[in-house]
Amino acid sequence: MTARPLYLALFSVLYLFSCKQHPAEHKNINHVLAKKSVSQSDLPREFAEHISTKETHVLKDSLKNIELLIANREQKISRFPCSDCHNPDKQLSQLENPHKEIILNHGNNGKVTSCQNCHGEKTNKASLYSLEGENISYNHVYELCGQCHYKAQRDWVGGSHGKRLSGWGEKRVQQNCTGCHNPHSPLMPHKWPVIQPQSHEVAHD
Amino acid sequence: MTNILSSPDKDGAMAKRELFKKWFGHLFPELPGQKPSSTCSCAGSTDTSCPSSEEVELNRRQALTTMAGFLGGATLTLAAPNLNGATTEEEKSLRFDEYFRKNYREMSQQEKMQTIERLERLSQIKYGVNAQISSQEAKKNVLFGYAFNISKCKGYMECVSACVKENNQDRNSNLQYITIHEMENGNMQLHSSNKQIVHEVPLDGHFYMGTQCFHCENPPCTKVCPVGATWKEEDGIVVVDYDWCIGCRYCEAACPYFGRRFNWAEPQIPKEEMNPTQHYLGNRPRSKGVMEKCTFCIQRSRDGKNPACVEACPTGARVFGNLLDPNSEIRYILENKKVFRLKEELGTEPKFWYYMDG
Repeated sequence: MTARPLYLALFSVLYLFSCKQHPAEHKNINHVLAKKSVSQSDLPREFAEHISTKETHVLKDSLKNIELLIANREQKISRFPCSDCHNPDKQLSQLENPHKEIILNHGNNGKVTSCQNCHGEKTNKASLYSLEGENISYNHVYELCGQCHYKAQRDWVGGSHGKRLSGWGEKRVQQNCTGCHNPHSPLMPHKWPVIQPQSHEVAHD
Repeated sequence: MTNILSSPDKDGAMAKRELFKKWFGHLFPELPGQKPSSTCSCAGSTDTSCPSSEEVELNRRQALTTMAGFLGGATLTLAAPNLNGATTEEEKSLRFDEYFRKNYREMSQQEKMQTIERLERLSQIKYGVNAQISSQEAKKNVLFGYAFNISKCKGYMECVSACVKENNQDRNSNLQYITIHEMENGNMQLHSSNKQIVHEVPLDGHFYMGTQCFHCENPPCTKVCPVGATWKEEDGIVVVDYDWCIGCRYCEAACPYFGRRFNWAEPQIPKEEMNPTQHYLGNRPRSKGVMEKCTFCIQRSRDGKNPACVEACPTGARVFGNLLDPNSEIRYILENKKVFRLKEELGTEPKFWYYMDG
């Protein structure tokens, strides 16, 4: 008889102190990090060519004060800018489709994602589009990827995911998501190792 | 007369002490009989029967160690340095001077410069390469640490290839500092891993784990060296003075991680593949019969760069940085990821952590 209030008290205590689902956990990187333009002189010398002043942003983590520069993507895209073809003056149907080599193998073998998820339904292909329809430049593709892969994005800013292009003692330059991952088929490919392993003289474990 | 007779003896004793200090100073930091001579009651006396201050201070044990030192020194002085293969008088002279130099840690700045000058000239003669050998010291407030993501490594071995090129390793024996272990999912027993990966990677149901020198904070390898040829630097890098190493391989046996390698033959490096940016304690070419190992690419890391393996990794599985910088990536990993080290129970405190995604 006396056990019922005890159970109730225990239950309410458990409820009060239990872990809760935060619906806003996958919030966009913009909410956590602030962009700021940097001057050319701030950039590490060997990367200055790859990161132009007007397109570079510094992400500033409000909690840990992490500053990092992001490697650009646009000049590495062979058919950029897209408006060379995707403009009202050209009849796209008359051209051979240059994107036909793309195999979409992203998100459960391509069943989940479609071209429109990232490239949008608009005719202007100069940028990517977020799920809410906002423009995202190819240089800031991490904002797009972070909509689903928010844990990877958090670790990418922190430094446990992704690749640092500069040395430990230089200003931090971080590779963009699409610098390593093929966005249409993001898993790392199968290939042969580049060197033959050493034959060990001693079994020493 | 007595003055004339005693002075050569004194000079001889001084020379012997210098020799002893040069060869064994690093093993016996407190040399016997170093009290100032003013304490001797008969200072200034020309009487030869008066014992010198050194003799007064010596007890039996010290006398024996000193004698052993003299004997050892004499033997080493008599043993001629191996000048086989030296063609010119200049090379012979350079190699002779190199043979009779001090332990690197005991050298003055000037002596370091002299030995580096000789080594650079020898590199020109032997390999035809104009090497720049640095002796850059550890930076203040820097302690290097390394993290390895076992979820990300795919076994491409780009790191191994970059390491071999960067560190001028012997191409004949295919000597490598890094071992990539192919492990079955769920298995953490390194001895059952596949180290001979000769198929396409990554293999389904397997993960990859790299081992190399872990630069332990409490390194067992440096303790067993009988000649003091290996030690831990201020920034945490465990280094080897290749020209002081006697090749006994005690350190290789003491390392619980198989981090050290031995040169069974004279290393062969093609001239055009030689990396001329070198460090005395790093990637300068070694000779036959000495130990070598990963130095976190000391020639790069002390210059603010990342080691060659970190730079070459195409998956970003390798992270390098300063453990004392709270904003570094390595600190983020240690604070936010599940990390582990190999054989932690040994108390070696490796500065090399493994972690995984999630």
